[in-house]
Amino acid sequence: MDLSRRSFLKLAGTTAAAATLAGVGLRKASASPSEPLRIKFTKEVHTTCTYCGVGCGIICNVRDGVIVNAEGDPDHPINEGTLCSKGASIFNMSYIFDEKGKPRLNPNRLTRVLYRAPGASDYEAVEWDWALEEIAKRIKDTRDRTLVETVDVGGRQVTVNRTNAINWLGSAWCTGEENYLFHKMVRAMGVINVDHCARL
Amino acid sequence: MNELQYKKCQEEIKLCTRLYDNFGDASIFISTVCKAAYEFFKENPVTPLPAYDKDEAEKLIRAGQSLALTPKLKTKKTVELLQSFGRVMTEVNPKLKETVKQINDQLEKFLLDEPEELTKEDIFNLRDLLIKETELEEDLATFLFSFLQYSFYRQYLQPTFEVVRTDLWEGGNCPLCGEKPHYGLLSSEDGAKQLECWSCGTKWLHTRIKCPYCDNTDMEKLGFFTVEDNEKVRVNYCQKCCQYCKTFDARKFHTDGDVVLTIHNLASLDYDLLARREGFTPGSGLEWVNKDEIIETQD
Repeated sequence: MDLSRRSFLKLAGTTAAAATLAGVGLRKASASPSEPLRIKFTKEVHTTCTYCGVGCGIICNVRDGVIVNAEGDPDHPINEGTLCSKGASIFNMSYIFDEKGKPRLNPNRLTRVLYRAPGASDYEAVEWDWALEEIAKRIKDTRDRTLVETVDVGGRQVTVNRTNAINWLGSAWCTGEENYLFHKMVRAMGVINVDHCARL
Repeated sequence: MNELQYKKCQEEIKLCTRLYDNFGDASIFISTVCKAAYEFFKENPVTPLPAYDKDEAEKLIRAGQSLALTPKLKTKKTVELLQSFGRVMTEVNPKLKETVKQINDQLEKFLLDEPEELTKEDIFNLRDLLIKETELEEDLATFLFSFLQYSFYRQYLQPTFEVVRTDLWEGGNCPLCGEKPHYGLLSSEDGAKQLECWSCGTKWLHTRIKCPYCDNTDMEKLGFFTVEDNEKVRVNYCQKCCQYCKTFDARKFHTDGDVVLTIHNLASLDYDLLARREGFTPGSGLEWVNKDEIIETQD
């Protein structure tokens, strides 16, 4: 039997007080079972502000699936932890408020892809994979159907390879590099109506 | 611990007494230990290690390698400092007289066998020895030995701290000594997370949503908990490695300037207990909770 001095002293009934932090006054008392502290678990989730074209980084605090706070992301290169007054109150977008100002979760908040088929009156929830495939297919179809290869300029055929049937709107939620790539992609498809929502 | 650090600690103890429940009683002990350390180093000044070569340090830091500086401590001085902490324990609680005598006996024996200098591993072996052979419990041992190491390392590494580009460091462990942190601070200005080494006091910025121990960035596996009516302290946890790190939210302290997190950590050990009960282990390896305090909870 491996008997340490400590075990021996205990077995022999020799009493030396246990030296704990509590013994010198540092009690972890408020965590005792008789007075349990109520713990609140929170997740931190990155997102991008939806208000304007700056594209500030936000950390949302989510508790039980509900956003309870939003703050500027200090690690985001654009806003470095700051937010304007609109951005700072963005978590309110997940609520609606009654006449008395009491909040409840906004039932109209989109959390899935909704699709309304041509001629249909209602939206249906669809999978992201299906939606992305469908978007790609329809862009290609429209582009192929409406592509103008040449136009007549003073009796001379000039190659243009363009379509007027598609308009591409860039996003403030994307980085400059991402928007550059989108721009290259749509130009390659022949889209000439390219714009951006960042009109600050 | 120099005079400035000592004064700052005393101010922080006063602040923490106001900020945290249950810390008032402990403030006498913590304050007296700080005083003992201050007086010890006044009589036994530490000669700091020469600063690390600035360019070489930057090269390592940029490559993501900690300098891993772990200076050896003089065995005799280490034991003397521990003995002075023992005197404080008896002063604060006379019932610990017999236990402190046990500790001193073990330290005397240790002095006979051990070499002149102690590595970091030797120090923690000594800690384990005292826990095994005396009535010293895990939580108090963690306090005594981490405070001891902090007091020495902080002074040894000060010249290197002044030349190291901590702003280039992205790792979860300390860029100077390589230890894993136990706590950090959310800046009062922008909420940036600044981790602090419990061993040498080095501070560095770290990504908010990232585990400092396993580098996990999966938001689904990361989170924090606070307790109701007290959101100054967050326990950040990672469900991938099941470890936790405490973060103090300076935005809720209403105080400016440097915050001595060593003291805030002691004042918030309730949260360590809660974290342990939730099944997380301290990523720093510092065990602040005794086994008998972790009560099994029924789901």
